[in-house]
Amino acid sequence: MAITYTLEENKAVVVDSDYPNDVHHFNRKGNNDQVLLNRCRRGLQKHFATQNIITHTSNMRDDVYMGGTLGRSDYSIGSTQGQAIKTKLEADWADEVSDYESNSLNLVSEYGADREPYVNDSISWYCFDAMPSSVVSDFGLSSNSDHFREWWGLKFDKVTKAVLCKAVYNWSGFLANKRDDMVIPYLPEWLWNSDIEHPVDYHDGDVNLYVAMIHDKDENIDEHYDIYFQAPQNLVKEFCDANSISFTHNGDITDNIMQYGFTVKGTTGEIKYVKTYTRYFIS
Amino acid sequence: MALVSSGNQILLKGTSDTNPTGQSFYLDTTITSGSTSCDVVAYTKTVEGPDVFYGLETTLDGTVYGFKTAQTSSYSGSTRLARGFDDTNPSLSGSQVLGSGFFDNIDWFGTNPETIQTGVTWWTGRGVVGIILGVDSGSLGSIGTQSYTGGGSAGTLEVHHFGLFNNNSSNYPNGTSGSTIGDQVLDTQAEGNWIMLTLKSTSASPPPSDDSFYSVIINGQEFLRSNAASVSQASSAAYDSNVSSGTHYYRTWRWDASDVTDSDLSAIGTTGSKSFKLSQGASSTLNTGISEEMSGGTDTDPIEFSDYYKDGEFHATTGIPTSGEIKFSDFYGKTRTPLVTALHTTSFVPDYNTFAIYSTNVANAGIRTSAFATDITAIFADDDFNPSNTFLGFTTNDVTIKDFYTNYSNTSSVPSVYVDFRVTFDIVTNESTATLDNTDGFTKIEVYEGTNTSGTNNFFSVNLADADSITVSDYGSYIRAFCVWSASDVSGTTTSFANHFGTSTTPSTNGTHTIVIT
Repeated sequence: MAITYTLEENKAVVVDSDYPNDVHHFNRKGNNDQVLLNRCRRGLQKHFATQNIITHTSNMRDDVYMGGTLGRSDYSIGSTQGQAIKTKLEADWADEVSDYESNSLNLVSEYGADREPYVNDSISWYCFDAMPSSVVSDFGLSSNSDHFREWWGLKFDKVTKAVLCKAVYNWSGFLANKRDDMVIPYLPEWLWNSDIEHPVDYHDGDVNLYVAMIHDKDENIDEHYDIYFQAPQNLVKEFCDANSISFTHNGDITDNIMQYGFTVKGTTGEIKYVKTYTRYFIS
Repeated sequence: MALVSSGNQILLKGTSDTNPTGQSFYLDTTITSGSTSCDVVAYTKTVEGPDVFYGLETTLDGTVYGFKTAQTSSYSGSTRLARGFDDTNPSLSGSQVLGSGFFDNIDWFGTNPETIQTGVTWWTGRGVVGIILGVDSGSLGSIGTQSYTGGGSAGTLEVHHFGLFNNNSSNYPNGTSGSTIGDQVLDTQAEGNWIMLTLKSTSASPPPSDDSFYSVIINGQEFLRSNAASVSQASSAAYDSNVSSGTHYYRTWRWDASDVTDSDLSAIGTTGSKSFKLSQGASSTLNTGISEEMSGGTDTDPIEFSDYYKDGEFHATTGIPTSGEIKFSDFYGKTRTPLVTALHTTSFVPDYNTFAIYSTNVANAGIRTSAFATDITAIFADDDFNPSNTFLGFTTNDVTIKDFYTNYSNTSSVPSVYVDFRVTFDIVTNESTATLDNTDGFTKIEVYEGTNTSGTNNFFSVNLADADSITVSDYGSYIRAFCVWSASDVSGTTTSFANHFGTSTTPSTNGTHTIVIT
């Protein structure tokens, strides 16, 4: 399971073993081997991101794998499983949100404390409506809506009943709002669109990733944050192997992979976990 | 061949002349070389058990001679773009640590250059590591003529930096295979020599092809572009004090190692006036007759000058008027671009479509049928055509256009400017692989507003040879070829969705356009 790069005088020929019928030819355009390889990887990432788009509907399940193990399943709120979780939210947090089913695209899940900062079993609720001003004020978030992506989430602790907000930022929004002590790890250069081929400037906002940070109602930001991006699994594995990051290859989920997430320990910049998001459509 | 580039040799008909030998130039001017000291200071890294020790070493030390455009203001924190052989402010972080011309030879910077980025150990070296020029943000030397028109779709280019460096360092590189300076061990002082040329454009990245230049000739010493490494950069006003507005594009070429010997540099000399030329091609036999060059020798008496407009009877050579006044001097240095016959022409009605995807925003303008289809009323008048033998290297006489759209995809909000242009062809063939030669089957796609395919109505065009990538997928009875061009490889006056295909989700209101494949 690997990507094969064959460098020729005028181009590179690239084949990902997961997609053996697709042969990618990247013109060299006068670049040296190193720059050409970077372009190949960026091309594979873009091809995956734009040709393997899995649309977001109101009848789906997103399975999240962490370290190769299924960690949780997010369900569309209107599904049988989603309705059951919605009932629990309305029972224990009736006043937290005016309507948990405000958008049929909303997602819910139940999950265990498999990573910091979660300490108890919890419920996750992702909303695909604009973030209300009450959430902005409750969690001390930026008032600049340009900093955020088009969805956001709340995390409900089943034991303490505490509520956390998982705010989803675009890259420039993350740079503007992150804690000063948060360190950015070395990231794949193929995520940047910049024509500055090597090395990338992390202040460059033209990048194919987004970030989520966890806020509490005391307006603290947890030190762990998630970096999300789309890429074929062999490209992610290649990066992880080169940088001594643990990566588990799940061959049976290949056809359903939607995106990846790096969970980063912010104070050190260490990539603690690689998360794989898969999507399935349910009736 | 090409026509002579200057003088009174040019004739309408020159068949009885003795053809001279020479070289055509995009730019033929003079540089008055200035000089400044230059040091490259790099890290050394030593690991002893759990301890890591960082030290410093001057890897290159000498004098730069040449011309450099001044920054319009001094450093502005991390916002300044370092390019060519700019001095780099040691307080900067990220990619600004190195001048762009040095990116391709990061071996000059020590054992762990990949970690030049925010938040890692290299920060400890800020203030001492980088490229240190005696002349910082100021100009160096001068040039007679700075701008010129490149070939093809290169447009107006500007010489931004040109310099040569004679390395004097005898301390480092130390010339042993056990050197810790990466894979490219520098064995001699002369391997630290370099020559850099940085070109600037206000519309797109200067192409890494003969359309920018074939060779640079300084004081009679010629250096071929094909022997240089190149790096491109794009910069907005926020990142480049030399940019007043919009985005400017730079590409730097660097010759080093065996391509720049001490004797080369000695022949060029140091300060003072030197001839400086950017050639269009190798030295060859030149034509003196316009008819011989531009008709390919097919015109017969009486030869009439009015037959030699661009896109007229004989040629499609850039730079020649298509109507009105036409002068002999219009033809100086020109090489004939032959007229071409369209392989296929079709009109189409484009759609505008956006996807609000979980993690990727996508906007398409045009037609998409193979996946994530645009509106069914967005159609090609004729999506099928019949090549005579081959297309993209595959033996076929049946090709269908499946997709034809400009694309934006990213995880931030959808802007007005697209990032690439995409075309998908389904090629009926029994073959599963091909070499995908860039001239095999078609060379160019042009898009016109309306159904008038005259030159002035040309929205944009792309050359097959400029494609970023072509992905070939084997579907058994046919091959699907997915071609992608970066926006910078699309020639046209603008790269906005709205100005090319409209942004209406009702295709009929976006108007009819025409595709010409040649």
